[in-house]
Amino acid sequence: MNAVEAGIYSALAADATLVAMLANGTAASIHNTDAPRGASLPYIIFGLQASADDDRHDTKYLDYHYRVKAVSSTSKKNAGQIADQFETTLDRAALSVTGYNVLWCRRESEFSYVEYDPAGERFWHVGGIYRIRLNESSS
Amino acid sequence: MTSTRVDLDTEGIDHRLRVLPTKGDDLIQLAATNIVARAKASMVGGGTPHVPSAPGEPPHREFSALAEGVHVHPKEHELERDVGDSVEYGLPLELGAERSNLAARPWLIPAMVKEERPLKQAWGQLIERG
Repeated sequence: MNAVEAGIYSALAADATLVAMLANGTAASIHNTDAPRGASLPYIIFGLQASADDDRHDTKYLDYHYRVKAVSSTSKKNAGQIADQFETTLDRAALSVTGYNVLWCRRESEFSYVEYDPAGERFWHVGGIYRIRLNESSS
Repeated sequence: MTSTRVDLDTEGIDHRLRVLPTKGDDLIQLAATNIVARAKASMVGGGTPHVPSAPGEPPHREFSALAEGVHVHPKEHELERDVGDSVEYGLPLELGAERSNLAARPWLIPAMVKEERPLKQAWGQLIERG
């Protein structure tokens, strides 16, 4: 799983257009699983949503679902633009995952919602569920 | 001059086409019901006093409002169902609301993923046997 997450992060961080859209224009605004409290906006969070091992084959096959979302306090449009950009990067991407062949990387669904923090400020979340299928590389 | 005659027996195909809408819809309903059951079962009690689940795990029940409100809705077309919840915090729990210190605690998509293989197997048998 860590290798998959490294592959997702690397793909996102390598997209200069995407990184320029994030807080401070740096890949430090791409967070795995959770963002630090008070992290500058907008940022991206990705995390494991569900997984399944596929044991129907001789080699190890894995099937992951990752949520990838942009979070913005500016507007839904702003979060959506970032989500559109990382879709161009991730959908059908040839991710580099150490030890595995990536067979499939596709967005399977999209979502958007608004969060109100305890102070009443709005935060827009826009993103998608990406499905990544892999099999173990033969050594 | 030679001629060749080919007789194509479509009885099996015809039978499958007849039963597929009804039996297929039954399968989709069953899968949707199983997803609901899996989602409900994944949410266990948080004890007293209530202890939240770990980030990344399905939410613990406190008042069971989310779990008890998970349901299947028919849609306009056959072979389609909606599975959803009845509370306003189901989606933020599923996907996270980090500015409110709420990390994602997926409860629906894992249930769907677990149901995918049984549904595919049942669908394959339906196509094969009618």
